[in-house]
Amino acid sequence: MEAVLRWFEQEGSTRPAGLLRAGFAAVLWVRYGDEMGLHLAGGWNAAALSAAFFLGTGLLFVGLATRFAAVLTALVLGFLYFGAGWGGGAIGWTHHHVYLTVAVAALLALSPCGRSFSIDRLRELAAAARAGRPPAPERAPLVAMRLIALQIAAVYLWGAVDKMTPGWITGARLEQVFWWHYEGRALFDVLAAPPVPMVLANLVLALEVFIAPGILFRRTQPWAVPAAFVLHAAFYLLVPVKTFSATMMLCYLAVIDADATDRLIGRFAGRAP
Amino acid sequence: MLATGAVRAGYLALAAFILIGPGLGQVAGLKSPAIRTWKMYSGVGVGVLRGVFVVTRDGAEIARETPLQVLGLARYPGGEHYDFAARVLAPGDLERLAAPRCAALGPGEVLAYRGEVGGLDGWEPLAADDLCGGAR
Repeated sequence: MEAVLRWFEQEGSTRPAGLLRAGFAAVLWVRYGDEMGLHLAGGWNAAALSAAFFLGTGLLFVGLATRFAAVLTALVLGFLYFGAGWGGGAIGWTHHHVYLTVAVAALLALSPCGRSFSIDRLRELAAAARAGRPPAPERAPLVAMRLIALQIAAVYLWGAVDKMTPGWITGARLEQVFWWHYEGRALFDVLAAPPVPMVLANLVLALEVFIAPGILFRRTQPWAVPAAFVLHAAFYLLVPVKTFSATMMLCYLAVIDADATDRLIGRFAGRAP
Repeated sequence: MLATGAVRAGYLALAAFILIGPGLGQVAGLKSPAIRTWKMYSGVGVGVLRGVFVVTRDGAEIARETPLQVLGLARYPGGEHYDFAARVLAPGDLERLAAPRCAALGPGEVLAYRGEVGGLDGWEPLAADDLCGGAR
């Protein structure tokens, strides 16, 4: 238990969280932007929701009043999923990739994601200079980032559990997916021809079983993380996953060691490792 | 800096919810918007036909058509499968799907289906000898 607590509460660079914050805001614009525009608002409630979405995500992107922005964004997304989606029957907003954005937004709201790569950081630097004190360090406990890492591990874990059925393992379910998306299209004869669906289905299942725990341990990360990126790239190329793959890939900023990412950023910036 | 007991209890509860919560839906069968199952793509392709529609006249086969041809489509729309009405999910769906084709049958022609339909457990056999309720 001590090791688990140490893992959660370990301090690390806040720069990966800052990158995740800005990238996540951009993903949200891609996913929801064309559905949340003010031009679509039929009433004042919808207009207020739209304004809250763009205010929250805009502030989140630049990192201004970041805690407020993250909380506001999480509340808006939570309303879209629970209220408009499940409550209002907007089935497109009940999807798993929408829930994933709700979860990530809520966990970002618990993180120190405004401490780096943000206007809040610039203000802190200016305030520290005026006061003649060192600025607050770009380091913090990684609890929220660990929870994001657990969230994406859970996606693989339970995704794999769902696939442990005869329908999936025989390739029949994936074959049906290919019939739906590819019949009448160029790659149909390649993807839907046995044994291609069965081979791909079992490869996906094996990868998910490996990736779920593999991304959480430093020893297996060098294999699990690239495998996950290949898997998500394949999903993105082969089937319409909207922003799911992009969100998952972005969340690897919470998986990979924060200080290692910080050192890489330093190398990009020309600093010696 | 070490967390307080309350903070620890909070994040450990969240971690447990994230890791175990989906099992409440996927294993225990509980249904709630707050319990997110991770069953991506589990319904895509369900209700899709893999087979052939056969047109006969006086017992002799005169044409074979794919499900897409019967639907008058070059391909499935490929987006949200929930919104696609021509999936075969329940008794009567195959007849409803074939109804426009039935209207175009010539005198004495019969439309039948031989093949399978996509189900959650795999391909399921599906056949119907007379989808239009008697020769036209």
